[in-house]
Amino acid sequence: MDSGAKAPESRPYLGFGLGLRVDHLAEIIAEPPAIDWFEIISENFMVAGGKPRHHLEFIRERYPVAMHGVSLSIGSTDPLDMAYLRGLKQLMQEVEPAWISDHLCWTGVAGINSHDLLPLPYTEEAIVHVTDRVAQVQDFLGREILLENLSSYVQFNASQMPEWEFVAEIARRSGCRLLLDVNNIQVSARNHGFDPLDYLAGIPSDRVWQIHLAGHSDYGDYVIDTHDHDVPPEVWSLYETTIRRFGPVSTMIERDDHIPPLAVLLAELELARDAHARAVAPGEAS
Amino acid sequence: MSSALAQLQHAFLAAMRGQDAELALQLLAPGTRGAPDVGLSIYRNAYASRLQEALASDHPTLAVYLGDQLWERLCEGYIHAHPSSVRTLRNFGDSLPDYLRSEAPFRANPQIAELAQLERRLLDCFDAADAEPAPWSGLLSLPEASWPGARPQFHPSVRQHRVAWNSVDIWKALKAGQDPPQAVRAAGNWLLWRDPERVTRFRSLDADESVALAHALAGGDFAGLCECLSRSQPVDQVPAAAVALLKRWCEEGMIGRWETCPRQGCQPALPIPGRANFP
Repeated sequence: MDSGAKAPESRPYLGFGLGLRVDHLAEIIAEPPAIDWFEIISENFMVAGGKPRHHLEFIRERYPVAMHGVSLSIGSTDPLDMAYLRGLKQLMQEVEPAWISDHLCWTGVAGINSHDLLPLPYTEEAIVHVTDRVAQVQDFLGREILLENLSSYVQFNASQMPEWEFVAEIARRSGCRLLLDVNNIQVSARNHGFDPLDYLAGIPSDRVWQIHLAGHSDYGDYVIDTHDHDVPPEVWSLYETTIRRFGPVSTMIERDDHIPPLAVLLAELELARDAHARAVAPGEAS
Repeated sequence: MSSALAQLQHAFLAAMRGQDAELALQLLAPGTRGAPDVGLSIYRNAYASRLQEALASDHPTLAVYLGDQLWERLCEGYIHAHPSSVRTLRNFGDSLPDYLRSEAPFRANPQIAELAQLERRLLDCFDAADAEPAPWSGLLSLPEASWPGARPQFHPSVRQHRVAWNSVDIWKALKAGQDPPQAVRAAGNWLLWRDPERVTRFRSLDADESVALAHALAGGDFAGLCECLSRSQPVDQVPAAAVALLKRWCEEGMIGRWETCPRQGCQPALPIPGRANFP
């Protein structure tokens, strides 16, 4: 694998960030930490007013912000939720984020929301369906979006290609960018028996704009993407490989549950800086 | 005929919701680490637990009041009866008070629905739209002739909460970690709002303020406010009482704007006090 890979010129680089979580707000406001950027969950701030919007204003005055959504349901066969997109666009205009992301998934159908990020079958039909909807969303928002790879626990008989080909093809056809969740690659690789290096090799470098790092729960037969543990050694290792392949990519730690003190995540972010620095150092073969 | 993708999504979601899983299982490839039904069960369990967590997060006091067994029953029944059609989990429980008013065994204990209603109104207050509080001087600066048609425009978070039971006392006790009082009938009217520091507040309303607030919240003007109060107060004390109420609401940060709307062909039923006399 390449070492010291360069980032494509079009890829913005924010450095090392964290997901903004309510548990840390008081501490962040009292003493804004020395991190490069924050990722916010868009839906948490698509509310009329009150403390959430007030705190968001504090953050965006001090840090670059990326918006990360969970409700786009880009792969659903239900019509796109235009009311949601209008709300998202309004928030986008107010926050002026570095970028907007969501997941390459569907969350519900027939008007019922599972509130989960569900996998698609890797078929030409799904590629065409998602590509068309990404185009609609990008036209409506007036900018490219990022789509994130899932962790998954099932595979569909209908799938005609591995996940990475599906992801790459949608990125190529739609022009969207990718948010690579390295933990999710690791989780799905374990669950479905593929080599995570094959996954990375199949992803076009110029599409990758952001990386998520997280932990998971290992139940033996299955690995569950809980995003509630420290980043484990195998994810750190895969992260270094990822940076060697793609060059510098904006990276953040995404912790969704069992939220530790801010200091713990800041220390973990230092590990990310170290791993990133090792990976981009010239002349180090992997 | 729907697409293969649509058919897959319908079958998979049905299985997640605990309906027939046979069709979904036929769609799944043999797993490398376990049978397809193991993978499917991960999604099924996550569906139920995620919705239950959302209800528990929004209704911590109700959950304690009901105890584990009844709470489980509530969650299972509500999740089955009200599959989520909302975008975010924040609104998943919006129909919970209605569900508790209509479903056995909860409907036999109306304080349960009232408790749920209170918790939802507190949530609604928390993230209602913002508005700068209007200063008291804004009302005082209005020409005297405008007073009969003066209308307070309330902060979007302001809500009335009417109860027929002592559910607010039950909520307060549980919130303080104490044993809740026995449920008894106790009609009351409460006011909820978010103050200028963005802290959610609530307090009880007496009968006069309750009627006056209902009038003002419905867009009623100052003259009408005086008419409301004249039903229970000596006529000569009504204008000062009306002004005192407006001032209290204003000082509590509940008023976002003062508006005037001329009362055509209608004179105030009561004399308006000179501004020098306002509290």
